[in-house]
Amino acid sequence: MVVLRVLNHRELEAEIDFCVGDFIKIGDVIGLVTSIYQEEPEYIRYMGNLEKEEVKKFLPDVFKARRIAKCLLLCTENLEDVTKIPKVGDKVEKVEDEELRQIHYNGEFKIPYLIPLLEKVEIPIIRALILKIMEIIPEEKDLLEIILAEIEYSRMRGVEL
Amino acid sequence: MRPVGLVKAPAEIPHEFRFVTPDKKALKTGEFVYYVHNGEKVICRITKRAPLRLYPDIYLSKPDINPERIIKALGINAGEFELFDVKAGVMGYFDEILGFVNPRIPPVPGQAIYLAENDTIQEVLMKKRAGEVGSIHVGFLLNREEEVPVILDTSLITSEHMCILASTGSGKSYLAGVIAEELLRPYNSAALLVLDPHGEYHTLNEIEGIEEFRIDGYSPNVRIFGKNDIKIRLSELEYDEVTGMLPELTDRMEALLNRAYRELKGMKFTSQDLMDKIIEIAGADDVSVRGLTWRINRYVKNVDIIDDFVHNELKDLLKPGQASVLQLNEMSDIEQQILTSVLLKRILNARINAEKGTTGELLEYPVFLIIEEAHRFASRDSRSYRVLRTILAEGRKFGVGVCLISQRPSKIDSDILSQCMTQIIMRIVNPADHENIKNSVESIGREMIEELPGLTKGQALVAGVAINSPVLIRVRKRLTSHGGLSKNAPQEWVDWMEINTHENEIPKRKKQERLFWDA
Repeated sequence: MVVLRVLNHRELEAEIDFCVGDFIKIGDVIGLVTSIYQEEPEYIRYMGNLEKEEVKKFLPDVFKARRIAKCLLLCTENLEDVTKIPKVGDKVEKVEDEELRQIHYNGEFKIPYLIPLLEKVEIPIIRALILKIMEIIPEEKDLLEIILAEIEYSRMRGVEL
Repeated sequence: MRPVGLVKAPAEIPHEFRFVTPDKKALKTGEFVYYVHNGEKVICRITKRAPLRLYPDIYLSKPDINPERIIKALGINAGEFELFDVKAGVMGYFDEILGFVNPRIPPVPGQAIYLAENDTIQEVLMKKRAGEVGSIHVGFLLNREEEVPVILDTSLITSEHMCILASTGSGKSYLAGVIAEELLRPYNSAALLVLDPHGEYHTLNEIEGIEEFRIDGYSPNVRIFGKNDIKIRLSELEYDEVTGMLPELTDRMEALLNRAYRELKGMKFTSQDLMDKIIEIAGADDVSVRGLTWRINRYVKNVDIIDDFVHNELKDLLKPGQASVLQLNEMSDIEQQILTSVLLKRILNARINAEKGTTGELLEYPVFLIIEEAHRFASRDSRSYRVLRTILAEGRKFGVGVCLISQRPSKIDSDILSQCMTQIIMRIVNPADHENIKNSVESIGREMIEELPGLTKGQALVAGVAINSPVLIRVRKRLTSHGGLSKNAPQEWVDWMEINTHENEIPKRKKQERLFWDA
């Protein structure tokens, strides 16, 4: 599971088998899977339908689409801003719960990437992220509930019912 | 001197502006700050203070979670939440002759604001310094942790009167005690009379044993007059004073009384002599005579303080370096009002005589009167209303100063209240009293009035001629003990029970051995 494309200093694409909302780690950079899409091999576009069926019979692997995850870089392991951007080919790992807890809760609870994240991703992803952190850091559940309520309320303010 | 804030913008009212400060404790509402304009320190008073940024309401939804923690968790710089938006009103720079002069140019945005130094405050706000001749040290500035004395000008208080208005239990008698102490200090040596309807001021006699009051042979004297010590001889009362005591006199009654009075003038007559003279003039069967003698019996003869033979001289009551406390607590309301009315009239006349050089009773020195529960004596239906109004209107010319103390200012006639040119107002909660103060006391701004319900015991708002600008103070500690302490009823009940339980134990009924039907 490696970095396939670096889109900009905040976003990259990787071929991974994770879900939306999962935390990833590339070196000391922490990121979040924000969307997933399938990508078929380039040369299939140039084949006719008949050719495709023929080839598929003999070489089914060729037609297997790749699962691409779009990831947003959040911060470093020390919750600092990302200054060193990962390169294509860098190894992508999933961040386990225990490690995630250590990143966010080192003496005091911190989640500094949340506000910039609000501008980039949809509310359901944010909600899933907060609920996940609530689960791994239960002692900060009350605080996270307040943050979640404020995010949802601010979204409601922007909607004319 | 380091600035405490920077000007942000003008406020809604022309003489007000806003500034931003990180200060957390020094810049309280009512505090004095200044900016520099053409080399002059332009003094301003803080009227409002609010945080520059507020937390979203939801951040305050869980009392266990400090909203600052949420801010920190989100990595937001909490600095802006620690700033305060302060509104201040320009008073002006102080000129010895003109008082405060408003430069009419507000400070520009970004201009530095400084906390007024203690010396600046004293120089600008107080007309006198502590210990100076004619000074009254009532307390300290409320906003300052260090003790900045608040000094009133005795001469302006005695000539232009003062009032202490507060709800019950706010410490007004305590404050009056402080003022009485100050008036008896060597640098004032006042001739002081206290009308004390609750018997709270007897502790002032401790002054005689306190070293601070003695200097170079000066030693103040405090005399406590109980009900039996206060006597007014009928023959010493003026005709007007007697008519003032007798209600609803007809013209004929007044004419009869006037004639009898004229015929007895110069003699030391008794109330019986007066009634005999009236009967002698018009006959015992005359309806007016009967009405008049009934009134003399009811309102003069049966009044304990009116005596046929004994009489308190004014100079016994009032002399420089002496406080006379008239304890009115054992007197009926009528007696209190008659005494106050007669006494005030005599004092005013004695001062007028002394000033104009006319004959009669004389008081050659100014006097100061503290009148507790003033609403009893200064309401329109009170017997002493007219004389009190006269003293407040004209007393300044003759050196009769009055300090009215009341917990119900709305019951004091507004003509009288508005003549008290120095006001000390403590905690007032009653809306009617609040409104009355707003209307009667011109020198206090609306924003200062709003502070009144928030004051606690011993805190007061001082305004008026005796000080250059209204200030909030905490009253200084008394040197004598306070005679008006509230009773601790539960403790007294418990104490009583401990002493009396065994003595007064109800004997247990003996077992009834036989019933009446057993006989």
